[in-house]
Amino acid sequence: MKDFFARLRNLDERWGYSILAVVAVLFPIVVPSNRWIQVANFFFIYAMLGLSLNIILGYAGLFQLGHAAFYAVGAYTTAILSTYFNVPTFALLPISGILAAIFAILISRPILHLRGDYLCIVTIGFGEIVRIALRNDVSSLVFLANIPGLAFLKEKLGNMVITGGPNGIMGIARPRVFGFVFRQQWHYFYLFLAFVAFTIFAMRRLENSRLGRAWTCVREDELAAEAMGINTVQVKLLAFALGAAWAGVLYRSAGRHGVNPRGAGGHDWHDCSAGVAARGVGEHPAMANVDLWRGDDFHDGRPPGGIVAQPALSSRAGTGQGNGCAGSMNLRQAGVTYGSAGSEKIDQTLWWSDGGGSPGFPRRGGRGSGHDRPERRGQDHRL
Amino acid sequence: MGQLLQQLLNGLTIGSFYALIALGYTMVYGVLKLINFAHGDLFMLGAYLGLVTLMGLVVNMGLSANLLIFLLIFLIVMIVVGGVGVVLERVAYRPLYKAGRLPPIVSALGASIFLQNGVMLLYGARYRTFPEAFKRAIPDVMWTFGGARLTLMQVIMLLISFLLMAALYLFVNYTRVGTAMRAVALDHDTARLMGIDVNRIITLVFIIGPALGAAGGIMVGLFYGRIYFTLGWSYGLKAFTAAILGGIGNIPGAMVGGLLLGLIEALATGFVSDAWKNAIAFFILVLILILRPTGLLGERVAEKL
Repeated sequence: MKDFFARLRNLDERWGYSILAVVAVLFPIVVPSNRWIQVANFFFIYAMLGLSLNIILGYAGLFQLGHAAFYAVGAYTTAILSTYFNVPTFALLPISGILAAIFAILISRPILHLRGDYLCIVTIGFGEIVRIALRNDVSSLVFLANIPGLAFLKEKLGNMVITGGPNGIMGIARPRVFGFVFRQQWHYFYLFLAFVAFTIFAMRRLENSRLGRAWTCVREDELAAEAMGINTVQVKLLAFALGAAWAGVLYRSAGRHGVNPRGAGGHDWHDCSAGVAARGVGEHPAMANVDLWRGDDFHDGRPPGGIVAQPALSSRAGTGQGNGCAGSMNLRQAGVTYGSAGSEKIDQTLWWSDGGGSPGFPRRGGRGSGHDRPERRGQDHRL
Repeated sequence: MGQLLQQLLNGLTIGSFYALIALGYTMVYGVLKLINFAHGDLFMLGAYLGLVTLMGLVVNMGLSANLLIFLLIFLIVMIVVGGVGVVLERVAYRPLYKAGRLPPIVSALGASIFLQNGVMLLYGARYRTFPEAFKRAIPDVMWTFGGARLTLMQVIMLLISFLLMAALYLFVNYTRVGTAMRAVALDHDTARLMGIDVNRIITLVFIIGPALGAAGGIMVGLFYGRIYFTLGWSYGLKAFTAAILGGIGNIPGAMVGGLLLGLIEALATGFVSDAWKNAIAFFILVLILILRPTGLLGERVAEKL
């Protein structure tokens, strides 16, 4: 098995991609079962979500786990513009992407100086704030009317519905191109396939671009990167913005007909981070294996996000407990166990796997000392 | 005024639970630089085992529910959950230390899901309630002052958690083993050179942390009278937040962070809006971290990530 993987890795990339492309294009024809096509669709969705997180977590090495917030901003932008203003669906792709990117820049600018786990909890915090805000809707802000001088808000906010609370917004229009309406699972399959292919292509280009190299440099050694004249703040912000934009676009392209705070703001990050981890951080070509595992579970017609994040809400709001939880657990467990099993494959690309010394202090076993790096890995335990 | 005092008391109680759980996160982090995402679920396991032993001892064996029995239950559950913590470390984390930092974290996520599902399969997905009989074991005494009420239950909870925290603080700061623990947190290699068995210290940390978490679990169960299998996620996230707030890896920091978070939450519930209390808590966390990037009591670390 190990041998098989090794050989697979050594295969010429063009061959690998060609084979994958042929298999993917033939898939709905060879397997004409709606169920499996739907599984494949989920696989694509998570692959794209994972790839978008990979920009931030993988390329730039920023430990951010609030990806669901960006995804949620894109999703709700889409839902609101589509249902309240009837904006055509494909026009929404760039809009929601741009808004997600703006949101990401706004929230990430003040927290960019945080390191490692502190950045992690702050991004989780933002994710939670977004989820709570979406679930509570505007009408829950009536408490503001208690502030002297703001009493007029009481009538204004009392019955206002924008995000639809826990129910979310339903009835996003189906995508439509030149009169062709996407209805069947296999329509979406090819749509997603195109998106995934484009994403992978774009990521490859990005990885080797000036920006991509700057990200790698910042991830490996921020001080050195700064010394080389890289504007680290700008580069990191770009990572956040691009990752968020991709995630924001994704929701609409995922072809769902409704959004709700469970799917859009819950703990999807479990899944994406497991996906990134299992594939090896900073490497991309479609995180196939994990995402296939993860996609292999759905309840009819229920948005996958709903399945995934059920426990998050049920613990808080005291709503139904059992419903959907088991499914979600299997779903996540599959991804996660795979992640730990495949961990020996996560090699030098891990951005925190170096000796932990700061550059310029080779005494502490930093990268500069260059001796027996593999041995030192994993001993980065000091405070 | 009365309401303010009441919210402060409530906040102190919730905060002491958070602090107890946060200690587990912070100790494991201090020694291993690992975010033990399964810790919240060990806490939840503690709550369930507390209920089960209570049922076993009081209902099946017919012992009368008094304070002594409660303490016995605390002891049993803390030992059992400490054992689970050790097994968890052996099975899920130890084989992965060499692989870098991310794999153990992902493994911790997996362990968290495993524990949640295990408890769900064993005890069902529905809410479990602590029978009223147990609550009655603690006399329903209540003091009223300045318009605020303080129940005996709250006093006992506060006492137990503060005793545990004080014991931990003294243990870590004034015993040989505690000194060894701090040494391991500072530098594994040097600690090993000084003759400290690092693996043993890690095992010890994985006994103490989950045991404290389990004590918190029983108290949450007794206090709210209702437990469910995803309890670990909500409390775990809060406690992790508390640990970060105080500066992760820092034991007094976790205590301060937990109490502070509890107070923020109680005040937000009382004076702003219940629906927004978590959002407010996280918002204040973000603000504090923007101003103090390594938490309230955390030292500025020179190294890069």
